[in-house]
Amino acid sequence: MEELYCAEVPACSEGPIALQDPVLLHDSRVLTNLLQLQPFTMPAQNYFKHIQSDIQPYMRKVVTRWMLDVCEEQACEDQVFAVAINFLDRFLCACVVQRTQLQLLGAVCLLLASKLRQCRPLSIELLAYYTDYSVGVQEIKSWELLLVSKLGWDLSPVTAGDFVDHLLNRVPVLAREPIVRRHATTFVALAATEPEFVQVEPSAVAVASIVAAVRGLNVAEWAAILSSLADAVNLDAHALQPIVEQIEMVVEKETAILPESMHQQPTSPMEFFDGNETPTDLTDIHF
Amino acid sequence: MLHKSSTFSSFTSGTAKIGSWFSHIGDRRRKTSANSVLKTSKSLQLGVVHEVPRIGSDGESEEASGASDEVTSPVNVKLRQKNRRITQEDINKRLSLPADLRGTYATVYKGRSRLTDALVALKEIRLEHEEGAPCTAIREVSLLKELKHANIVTLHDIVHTDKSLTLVFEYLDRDLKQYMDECGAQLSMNNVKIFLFQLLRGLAYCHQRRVLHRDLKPQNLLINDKGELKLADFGLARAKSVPTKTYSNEVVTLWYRPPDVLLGSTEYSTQIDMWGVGCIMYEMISGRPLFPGATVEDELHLIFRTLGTPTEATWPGISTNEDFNQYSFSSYAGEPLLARAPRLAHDSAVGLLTKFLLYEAKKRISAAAALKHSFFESLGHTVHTLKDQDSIFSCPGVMLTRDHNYKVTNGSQAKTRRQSMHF
Repeated sequence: MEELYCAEVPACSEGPIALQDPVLLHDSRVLTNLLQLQPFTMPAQNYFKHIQSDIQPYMRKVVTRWMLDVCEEQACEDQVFAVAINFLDRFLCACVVQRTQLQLLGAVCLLLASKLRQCRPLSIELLAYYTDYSVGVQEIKSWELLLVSKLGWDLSPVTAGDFVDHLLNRVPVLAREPIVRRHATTFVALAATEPEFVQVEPSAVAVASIVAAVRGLNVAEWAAILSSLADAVNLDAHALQPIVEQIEMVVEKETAILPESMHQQPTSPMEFFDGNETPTDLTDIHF
Repeated sequence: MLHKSSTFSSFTSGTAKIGSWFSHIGDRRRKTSANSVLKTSKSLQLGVVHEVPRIGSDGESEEASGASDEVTSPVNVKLRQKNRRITQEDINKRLSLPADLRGTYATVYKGRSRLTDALVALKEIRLEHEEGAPCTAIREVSLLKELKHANIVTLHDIVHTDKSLTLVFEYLDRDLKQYMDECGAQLSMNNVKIFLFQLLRGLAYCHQRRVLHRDLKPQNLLINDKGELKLADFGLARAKSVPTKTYSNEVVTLWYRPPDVLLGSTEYSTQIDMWGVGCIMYEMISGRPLFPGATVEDELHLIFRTLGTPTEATWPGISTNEDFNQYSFSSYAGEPLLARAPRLAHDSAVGLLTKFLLYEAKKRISAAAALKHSFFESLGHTVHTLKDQDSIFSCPGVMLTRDHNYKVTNGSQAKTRRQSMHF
């Protein structure tokens, strides 16, 4: 069966992708604004504890992982995945759902996020296909407006990925190393799949991901980098360290289930693909 | 390889209770209508506002926007689908479906609120479309919800059913294009200032909140009987979110589209809107559109003939622009705008206009800076101290001049003459 597998042409990779805007990147007001805005679009509470009765953390992991796979295979812009996850968590704070509706919700979140953040949205038919038609086209359509209204039409969340470039820019050593950025954005995406990071501020996830990337590359002055990044987002470096370790554990867990062939790459154990696409190929492996 | 839904078999207990979700939607609707100024659609006196189908903004048919097709029954309007390039996937789909079933549709109704007696415009977007709610509608609502300003059309409410999404806007009688048409030719200079100032106020507010309009044209500037001007049609607007991401360069109506965008630039910012402001300012003063091009090449040709073909001195980097070199335009020296519209000599109007019409986008004057230009001196000082939601007419001495030939309509005439409404 493997030989019959036929990769689809990614639907979203064509068309222009904007370059980094140096004006925005070098203006510290942007970071200030992001920090100021982030509380308004964070999930308000631990919905596993207070809202949902059926949904367990591991179920969220399965769905978010599936969402990441779809984004990766469709070469979506990285914001699509991050925004979709934010929608998912905020919806789960507002509405009780059954476990059987979770993948439907994931698909609707991807649809809405792709409509907002991409020139070419994911098609409903395609999303239904990725659920192996366990979710119907009609269901996705009918849930779309339920989702936007439950989100109060607040559809521009601040996500961890928004912080990464601004933070890297603060540390000249890092700004010159594209591999740090690649690893950090991958870790940010992985963190979004993990239920334990739902309540962690996006800025903290961004700092921790960068520091985990730096440590993974055996950069000696990681502690200094951590403290300067923590300062930039007004957080305490000591409080951030456990989050760095949490991210490292997630990465370790993910790489442990990589197929043999991936382990044999000699120099860098994790080689990620470039560009603005959903940043991970750890996901070619399966649970 | 994806596992698709097989991964979900691990937690299947009980069947999906979709029915309970519909009742959620229903509850929300009832609540919305009870709390808002509007009752449900039954209590609205609906009158259909005629719409002319338009393709618009992709430049394909916008030249026809001034044409007044007579329409006698409500016509569905194709919401524009920009940001799209035709791919094989699209072609495949088109082969299997009639072309006019693809695309999204909206109808605009005029209604009256039973509670406040105010007129409202109801933009009904049908959701039976293949891809659910149109992106333009989602973006428009999520942006407009945040924009509260005297010069931006107010979104009162959103009512939705599983079949349609209805946006309830404040109602304005006409747009700037109709206003100019009704004036015959030229607006009085005082009115030009009042309208331009309001346009700039609305834009400065948008830009400050990182929202680009991207589709400025007289048809998108609504005017009520008091002379208040409001920006409308945010269907193409885009939050300039951080960090910047993909934009399509097929966004602004051809006549008001800046040359950098015409030449394929995708790196635009708030200045994308300022070129259009200049074109609109000229049109109000002279009574004629500034660059009524029919195609991209024609549009560029008209711009270069008037403002001079750009050189490295007037537009750094132009000599290496591939699109520009391909067209191989003649080198025009340009002609003075004053010769085309002598009225530009009044109140240093030409001084402000040339600041909008600069080739180099980043040199164009910002909306906030333009408000301070001496062109607006006669409006007095109080116009600079207005709060966001204050009307310009709350300033002492600011009054609309009765424009020559302009008939104050009592509403009935406006209704029959009305051809299109854009939000």
